[in-house]
Amino acid sequence: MSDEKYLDYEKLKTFRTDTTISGHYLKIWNVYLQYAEKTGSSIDIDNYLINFSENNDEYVIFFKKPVTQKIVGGGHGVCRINKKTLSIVECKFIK
Amino acid sequence: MRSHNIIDDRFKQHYYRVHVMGDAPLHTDIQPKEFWSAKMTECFVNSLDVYPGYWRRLVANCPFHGHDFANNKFSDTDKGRASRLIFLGIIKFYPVTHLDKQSDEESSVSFPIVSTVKGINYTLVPPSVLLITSNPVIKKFNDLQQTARFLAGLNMGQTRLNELSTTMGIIATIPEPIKQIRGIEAKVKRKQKPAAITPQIAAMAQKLEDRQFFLLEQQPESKPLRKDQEDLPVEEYTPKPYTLGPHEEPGYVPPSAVTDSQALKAENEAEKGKESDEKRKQNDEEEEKFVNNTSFKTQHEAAEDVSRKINSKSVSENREYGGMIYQNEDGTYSYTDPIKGSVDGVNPGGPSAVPKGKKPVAYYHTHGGDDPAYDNENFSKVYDPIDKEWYGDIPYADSNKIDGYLATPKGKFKYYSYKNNQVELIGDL
Repeated sequence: MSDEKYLDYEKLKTFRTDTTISGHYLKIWNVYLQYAEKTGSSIDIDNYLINFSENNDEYVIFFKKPVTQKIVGGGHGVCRINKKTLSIVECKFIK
Repeated sequence: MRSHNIIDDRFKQHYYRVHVMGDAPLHTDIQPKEFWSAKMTECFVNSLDVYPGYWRRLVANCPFHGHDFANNKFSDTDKGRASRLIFLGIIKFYPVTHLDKQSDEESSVSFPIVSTVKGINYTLVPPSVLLITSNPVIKKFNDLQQTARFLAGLNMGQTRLNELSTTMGIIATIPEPIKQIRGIEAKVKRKQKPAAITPQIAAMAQKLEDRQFFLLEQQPESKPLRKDQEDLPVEEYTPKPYTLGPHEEPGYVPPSAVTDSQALKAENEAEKGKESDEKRKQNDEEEEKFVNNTSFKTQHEAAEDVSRKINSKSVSENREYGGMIYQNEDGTYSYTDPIKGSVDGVNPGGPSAVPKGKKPVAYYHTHGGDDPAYDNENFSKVYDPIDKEWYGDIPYADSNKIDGYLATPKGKFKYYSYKNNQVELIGDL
């Protein structure tokens, strides 16, 4: 985990508990991982809380970077994956 | 750790900067490595120390993927396609000589720094440093005379001169071209009467003139740019008469540095022990201190002024900077000092950060370097399904009821109006 100025490490720790997640979502996660590797993403995933959701057409992975102060930007990200083709529709992080 | 586009051979003897056609041009005279045959290219590629998948990524990022060239001497693998693109000159390898024979674990190479009275620092670097420096600003000279005059005017001590000479490799070469050096010295002295232009300085000037070394310029961030004076060496600078500052006048009462609430907050944080003293000290040092007593007619002008001053530093460090724009009592606008943030965020301070009695009207911020993982060129806004809130640049402006300014890595200067909920491109910085 990298040392970042505004990162709320305490909040990140509180989410490190026993948890259950759908294998299907892990399959979706793998799609993102392959994309991140292919594009050489510089995102340090250790600094994020990850939320999976879905609508009719897409899976949505939300990357939340908990922070200790109110800041502009923030490093949060969204990755949308097409349900039928399992291809990345959009993947962007904000700053 | 080296940059991802610097790679070395397996024995860490030589380093190379990788440049793909279409990338930003490199600011250097260094010629890329040449390959005369397919075999030579493949041998070179095999000698490089790269992580798994590197060649696949390199080829994928290249405008030509290496599929369409009728040259079957290369294997149909990622490495083969990369070799083909290297052989064709679409991917180039520039030798970064100053890193040679250095492992990642060793401390990075350092080069001597010289300063002028204006606070501008010049780092003496070999050409290969320009290969790995973002937006390098190089000190330019018209001719040998000006170069020698500049160096002499820096009034460097003999120790510093020797340090620079050693870096330039001049000590070893003095016996050989001594006549040539004397000639340069005489040529320079004929036209003017500078401070002592010794053979050593003349030889250094010649090295700079021959572009074997460069002076990398770094503007001071702690002082406003003075438009009325050039970057003069020490002896040419004439200081203005000293006048009393407001803090030295009779009856002056210094303002309290922090409010009670801020002091209480700081005390609580110290008790919690969240930050060590060292870390707090580091954070304090990170804040940019501008001597900012300038006021502007419009908030656009104030934001543009500070953004122009800080954006290149933000890009080169890949760190965001931000602060506040406020309105003075007389209707003019000023800004607070830029605060250094992280790679992907910064706390500009908010309305409470502006001086007492001033009206906060906007925040300004930069976006750091051009990182492909991020949306670098736009104001940000994203919905957080965990906390059910909007985050980013635009929600920050909306929630504080202030406008926003953004300086992007590509030098665009943008404005967000919270009243109209519209983003406007003002221009280039």
